[in-house]
Amino acid sequence: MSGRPTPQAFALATLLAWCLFLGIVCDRLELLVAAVPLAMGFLSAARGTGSPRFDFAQTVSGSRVAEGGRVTVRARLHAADALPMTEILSLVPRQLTLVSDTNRTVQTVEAGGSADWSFELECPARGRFDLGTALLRLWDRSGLRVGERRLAEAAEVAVYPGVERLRHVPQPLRTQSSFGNYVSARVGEGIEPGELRPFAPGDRVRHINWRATARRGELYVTRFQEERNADIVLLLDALSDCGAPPRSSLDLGVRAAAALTHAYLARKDRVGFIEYGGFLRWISLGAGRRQAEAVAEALLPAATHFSYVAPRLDRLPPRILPANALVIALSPLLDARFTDALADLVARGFDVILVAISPVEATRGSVARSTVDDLALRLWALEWRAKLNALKRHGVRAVEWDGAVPLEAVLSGLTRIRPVGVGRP
Amino acid sequence: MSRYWTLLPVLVMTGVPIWSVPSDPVIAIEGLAALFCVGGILGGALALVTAGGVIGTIGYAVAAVTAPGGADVIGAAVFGLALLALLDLGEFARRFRGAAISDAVLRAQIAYWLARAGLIAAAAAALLLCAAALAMLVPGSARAVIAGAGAMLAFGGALHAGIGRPER
Repeated sequence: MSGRPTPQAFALATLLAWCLFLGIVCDRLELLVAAVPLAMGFLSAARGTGSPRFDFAQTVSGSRVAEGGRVTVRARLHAADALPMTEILSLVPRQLTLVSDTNRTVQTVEAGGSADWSFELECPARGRFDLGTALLRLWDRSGLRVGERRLAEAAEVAVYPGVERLRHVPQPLRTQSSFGNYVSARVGEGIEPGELRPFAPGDRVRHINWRATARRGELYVTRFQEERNADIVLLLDALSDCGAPPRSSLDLGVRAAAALTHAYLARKDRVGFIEYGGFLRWISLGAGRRQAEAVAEALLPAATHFSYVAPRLDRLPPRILPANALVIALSPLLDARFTDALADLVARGFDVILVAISPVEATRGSVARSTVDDLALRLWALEWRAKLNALKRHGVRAVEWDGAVPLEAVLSGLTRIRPVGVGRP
Repeated sequence: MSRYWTLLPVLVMTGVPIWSVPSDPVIAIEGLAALFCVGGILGGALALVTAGGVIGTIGYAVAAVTAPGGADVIGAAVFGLALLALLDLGEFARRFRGAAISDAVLRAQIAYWLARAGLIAAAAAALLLCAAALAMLVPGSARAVIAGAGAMLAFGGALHAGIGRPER
């Protein structure tokens, strides 16, 4: 530990020098006597004893928490040598909020003893945060010397986006081959009655429709439509972001993606994720809890990365973006590159749904209210809606979401758009 | 610990010279010193507090020079202690502002300050006794030389003890 004199030592030296100087110049005993306490102050500085031995550990109550959750950080200082006055500052990322106690404390620890303290943090914004770094200052009791040390331990907390439970989600136009919850146009084993046809050898007796048989005088069987699952690809626009965390347009997009992921995976669908930003980042299609975990991990670091390059979705392999997948795009529609990519997907026959996250409302929350700002925001909203309507005219199914209302309420307009059995098998 | 405790040594530091010689120049200089100190305490600026201390010392020198009687050694010791306490309290309050200070730290620190003040008072008394003895033994012309050499020795020693010690 590197000990160094503090500014107080230099201030004390200055006062001592002035007392002695004035005492000698004025030839007055009082000033020399007044210098005695100052000189004794210097002499009282503790003798250097080298680096004291101690252990510092900081633990977090939970390594995973949802947005808005709280974690408790517990710190323990165990000293092998006596620590007269130790100032400890636990570094807290600025995205986290201190809600109880303080992350800066001053402790004194006897040799062989230990000191414990804790503080509570609220985690309003998603991300992965380091909570294991602390700065220690070992002060001399006289305040004239100080040693500093930076300690880093592995204590991390991952704040996952809050998940809104969705009971109804937009239905895909096309289904896949695995069993699922959507009624497909393909007939076979299922519970949804489809069409009637004359009995043929090999048909099961329990499929005979006795009412039709009695009416027509020959055997008829009911054919059922299969329940299949679907492939869902969530396409997050990370080219632009506006507003302040945790209510920025990208944060809303991440929350919507998390909610849709959980809802579709609960329906046994396969879900994939593509972050369309300065570069493309993706998670392959998959199902189950493991996939939910993978998508949640991929959503954590979602951020804007400036780039002049327009990522090309057509270069993605089919296992990432299958032709029969339902693509749900989440975007504030601020970057023309994303709008073009969306129009391109529609032109290539993809089933595309756009959740347009209003950048106007995200910005409104982070600017001071004034007449001019309100007017500018209203004009911006008009311009933005015009852009959204243009996309709708191009055949994109789109809804607008500003985060103020539940996502499910916004998506409800899309849930019954598909008549049963109309889709392509 | 509240930083307003630091106002106590400011009062003592400015009060001792005014108590000795309540003249207009001394009051004006000490008033200015108090202004600097209070500004430094409220603004958390050690440089302002130090400047206030230096101005206060100049005011005390003026008071000492213009004082009609002999040397007031008790007042001088109190003045020196007030200067030391001003830096100690002011820096302690500024340094740990916003931090949670455990009771053990406060108790130990106050005990340390009180013990050191007692030690300083005893040392000042011993020095004065030595000075009185030297005054009787040393002829008048050599006293200034001895005093100057002693002062220089004290300053150098204090510097060595405070900031010049190598780290082990």
